[in-house]
Amino acid sequence: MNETTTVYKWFWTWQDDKEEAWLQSMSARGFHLQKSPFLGFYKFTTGEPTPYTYRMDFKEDKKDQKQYIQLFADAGWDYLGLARGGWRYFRKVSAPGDSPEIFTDTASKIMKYKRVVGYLYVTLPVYLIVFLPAMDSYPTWFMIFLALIFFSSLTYSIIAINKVEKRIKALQSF
Amino acid sequence: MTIPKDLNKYLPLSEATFYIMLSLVEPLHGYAVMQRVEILSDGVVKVGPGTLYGAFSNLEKENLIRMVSEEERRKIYILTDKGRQVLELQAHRLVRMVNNANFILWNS
Repeated sequence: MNETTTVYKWFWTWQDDKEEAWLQSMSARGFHLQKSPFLGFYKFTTGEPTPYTYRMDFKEDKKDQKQYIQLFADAGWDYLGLARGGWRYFRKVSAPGDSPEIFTDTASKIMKYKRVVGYLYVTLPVYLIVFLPAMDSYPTWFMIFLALIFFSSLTYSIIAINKVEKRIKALQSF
Repeated sequence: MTIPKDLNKYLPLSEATFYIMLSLVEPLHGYAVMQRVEILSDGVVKVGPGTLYGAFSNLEKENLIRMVSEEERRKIYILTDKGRQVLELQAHRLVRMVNNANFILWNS
């Protein structure tokens, strides 16, 4: 009996640890993530409660993807896919009381969050490139619509960068 | 004879990086490095795949390791001459530190 349950849940890009914990609690109840979420929708397979630990890496480039996945697979981590530009989902069965990590030192954890910040900075100018050329060509209501999208995206980027930088600082003060 | 550039900028190596480089005196692929590091450090130092992937990228970029070959989606790396020099530099430093500790802390 292989039922699929779809759950909608919103996690910000700086809440990867919360997301990992939530996925782990779902597996403890017998709901196992099939693959990476799409727009906040998570697909779970129903089964026996299993002590899976979920971990997320941020790698937006597709370079050496097969080797990347193979390295994790050799270490016992199943790859569940890519979401939101660069988040990679992995899971591993964990022994009781054990909490396996994909980043075993603080320096590499910081590097992950720096990649997230880098990605957020890169997507900032994209909003400008999309917005500015439209200046003269569209009716007013559409311009207002674009402006709203632009400014909310910009606000999100600024908040996200700030939140992730805070996490980096917290890790650096170790 | 290669002239050593300022290799001190790579020091000190983190414990994990030190063991990763030490493992690569012979050609190994990723998971084999993980296992070797755990054995060499008596289980104290564990290297996760996320950490190792990043370490390989950085070390390769700095020409401290290089890829020898690839088999079944696994890249095999080895230390470069430059990497070997850096590793030996770090090891000498550690020997001096340990000797000082032995002398001052334990009078031996």
